[in-house]
Amino acid sequence: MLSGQPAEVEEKKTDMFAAIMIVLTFVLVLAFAVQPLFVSKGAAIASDKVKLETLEIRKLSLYEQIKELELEFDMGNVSSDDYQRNRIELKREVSMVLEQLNSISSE
Amino acid sequence: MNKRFLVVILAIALLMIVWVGLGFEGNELPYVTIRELTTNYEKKPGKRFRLGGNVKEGSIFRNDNDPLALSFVLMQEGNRLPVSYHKIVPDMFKDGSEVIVEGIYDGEYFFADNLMTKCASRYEGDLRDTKTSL
Amino acid sequence: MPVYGASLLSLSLSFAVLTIFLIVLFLRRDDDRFFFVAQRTSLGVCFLVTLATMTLLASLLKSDFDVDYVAKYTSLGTPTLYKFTAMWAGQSGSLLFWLFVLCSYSAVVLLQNRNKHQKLMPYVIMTLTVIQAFFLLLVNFVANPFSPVDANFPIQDGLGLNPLLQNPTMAIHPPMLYLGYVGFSVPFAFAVAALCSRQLDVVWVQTIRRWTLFTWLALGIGVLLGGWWAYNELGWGGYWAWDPVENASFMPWLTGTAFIHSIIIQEKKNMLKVWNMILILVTFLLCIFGTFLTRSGIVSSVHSFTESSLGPIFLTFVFLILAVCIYLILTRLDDLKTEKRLESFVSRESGFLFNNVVFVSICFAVLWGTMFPVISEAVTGTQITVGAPFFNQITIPIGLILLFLAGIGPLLAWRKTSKESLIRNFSIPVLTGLGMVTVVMVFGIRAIYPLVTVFLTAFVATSITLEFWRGITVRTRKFGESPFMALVKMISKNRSRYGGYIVHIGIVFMFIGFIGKAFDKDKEWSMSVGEEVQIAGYDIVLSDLNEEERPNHFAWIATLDVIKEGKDVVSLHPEKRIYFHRNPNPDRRQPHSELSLHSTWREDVYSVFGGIDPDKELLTIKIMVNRLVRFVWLGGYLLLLGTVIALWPARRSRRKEN
Repeated sequence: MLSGQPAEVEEKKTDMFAAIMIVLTFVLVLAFAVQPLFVSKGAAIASDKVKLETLEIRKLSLYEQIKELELEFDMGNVSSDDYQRNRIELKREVSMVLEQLNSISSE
Repeated sequence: MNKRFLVVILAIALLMIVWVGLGFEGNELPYVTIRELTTNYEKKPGKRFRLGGNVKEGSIFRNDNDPLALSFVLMQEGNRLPVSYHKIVPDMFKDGSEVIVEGIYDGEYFFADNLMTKCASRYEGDLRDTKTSL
Repeated sequence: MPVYGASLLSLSLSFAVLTIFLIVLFLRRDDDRFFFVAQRTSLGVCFLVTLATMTLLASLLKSDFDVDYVAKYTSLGTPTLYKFTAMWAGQSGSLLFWLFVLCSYSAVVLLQNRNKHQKLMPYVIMTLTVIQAFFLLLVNFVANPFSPVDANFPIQDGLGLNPLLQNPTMAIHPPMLYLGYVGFSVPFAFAVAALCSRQLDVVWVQTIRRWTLFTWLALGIGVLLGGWWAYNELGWGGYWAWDPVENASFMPWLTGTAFIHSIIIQEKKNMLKVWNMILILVTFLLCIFGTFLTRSGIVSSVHSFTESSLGPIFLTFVFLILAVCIYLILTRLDDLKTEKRLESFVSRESGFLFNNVVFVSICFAVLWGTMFPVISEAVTGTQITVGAPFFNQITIPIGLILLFLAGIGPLLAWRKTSKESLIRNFSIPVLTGLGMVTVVMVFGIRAIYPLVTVFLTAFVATSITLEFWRGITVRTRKFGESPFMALVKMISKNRSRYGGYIVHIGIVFMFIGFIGKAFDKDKEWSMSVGEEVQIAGYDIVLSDLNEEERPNHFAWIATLDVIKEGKDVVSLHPEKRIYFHRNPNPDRRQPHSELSLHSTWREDVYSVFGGIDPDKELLTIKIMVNRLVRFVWLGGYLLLLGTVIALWPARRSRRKEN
């Protein structure tokens, strides 16, 4: 930049511009942030869904494990003893999870 | 059962620590100053050291018939050490540049088998110099 | 512009502090509105940081030399692409970039989980915001990328970007690495949230599984690109030097790999909860530590930036996190207990467990070797470094154990594997391995490590191939599909399983590439035009030398004819370049060697133009014959492919029907 009067004026102008920009940005973000205070969505945070969610995930995981076990058995990776033992164990766990799920939904 | 597992895993971990410890044998490379190297010199053939310093201005000497054969004087805190090197030097190697050398010392010359120039990522200079550059 | 950018950064910091404050209020008062506003202010931080990043980018592209950073890392002659990449060439810019990546991730997490995981999310936002605030403190007060240039004279031009960094790979290597480094913040935040809210079951693990995989992939690709760049640009003929900064990126990858294996066990069997917590904590700390190692210059390295005041600040942050997390884990030990136990040493679970122990051991060895100079200096006063030989000696055998585990793991049944299935599953792979060893021994290879590696690679490759083959047979028999259809269906129905296998095959190929290292040859000569030299069965003739003046440098170009058994193979053209060659100050001129290589599956012929004595036209040339390097890159592609398959979203609707 050249020295002298015009450059200084220009510099002041850009400073002003930056100041306006920053205030504008600030107001924008703040407005966005406080907006939920004025909208009565009534969307309260759902309470104890965690237990349910955990059980659902557990259930799906167990179903998948049973499927995988069957695949492994079909492929011949698992001996029939191991297969039977694991299968019974997994089924037992599934029924436990299902029982818990039932008791929650009946509450 | 879980106790047995814990024991086995701890045993493996211990084994690994011993293994890492053993790995140091013969691989350690002390980073010494020129003073330490020259004053505490005892004849230990094959013992490798690592040194840092600057290339003395005007001390780089190349063999006329074999440009790979190179010698220069390494400067560090007023101490000097003649270094010989027989490999391609890094791009940034020149008079005054800061280098790290690794190699063996025979009581007089330092025979480097590895030479690194410091400062590759940081690309510094004086902004004043750019006036006339491309 | 710089004023605007700097104000954006301070504004972001205040919003970050506000977010933390609001979350604390929410947890105290339990008024949902605080949480809703906190979500918004957190998004606000992300927006502001993005804006600040764009501002710096604009300054770089416009060559606004009033900004110190722009003047130091770009010049008018810098090509546009590299003005862009100058964003992460220097310290303050790369810190801002780190922050930008973190904010982008946080925004995605916030939006994805807007109405999910209500117990976890407040703590997740809090953790992420604390990390953001730390980096915001750095860019605001320690290394501000918008600080004005410190010069009392008009600046005509900037200093320009280091020519070594002017390479397309270098344009994507750091961002990839950052995607990985920063990405581990998200699983870490969920882990902390799980601890704080005592929701230590599978939910958090399930939520971060794909995040972790993505992050792990980005880090892996980042590391590989670094190796690729070193090999193709730096000219010392290797892709891995065990440099502290390389190690810094490798360590979180190792613990991250352990983590993605061990969370499978938590997901399936609800075990190893404490262990997973520790693993993700260590991985995240190693990521921060890696950033710190690159930035602090504490361990001298070719990559690291010159010494700065960042060291103590980073260390304080690391120790704070460590202390908080250890406290959290200790106070929640009861919740972390599992009712299940391991049943047998020969089971999938214990396979994973051993894999974990080995990964952590390698990480420990690498950490120890990397930090040894610092530790030894503190203890004895003399810095003792350990070079590549140490790391190779330590890690090669442990790596081979890992390879072995990668081979047997998939063949072990969950819980317990019976003897007969062991024999059935392993006899063919073992025989193939022994067969391959015999073959290479016939070819005259006797060294122990290559032989063991050959055995293991053949063993693992066979066991995985068999796995694919058996899967296909089952489907063709059961559903009457064509083998190809069966393959496609099988993979798409079990993405993580088969994706994982493909990654393992990739690792096998990498190990094949690593064996090649044992058979590399290299030699240096001083040559004049017309001379001929021999190396590893090649005749190499220096047939020509040209000079050329290009826009930003001057180049000598050598022509090397590579001849094998009397036949021309290729002509290589390594160059010696002088950047800024018209600068009157010779110290500002920068020489640079541009290597040239010819790559085949068998070997690469790699040539470097070391130097030239212009008076006598005597050149120094280095030729290397590097074996099997291509397999390393092939392994990298397979790693990418396999992980993408594992990451590919399963069709939701189908799953629900089941």
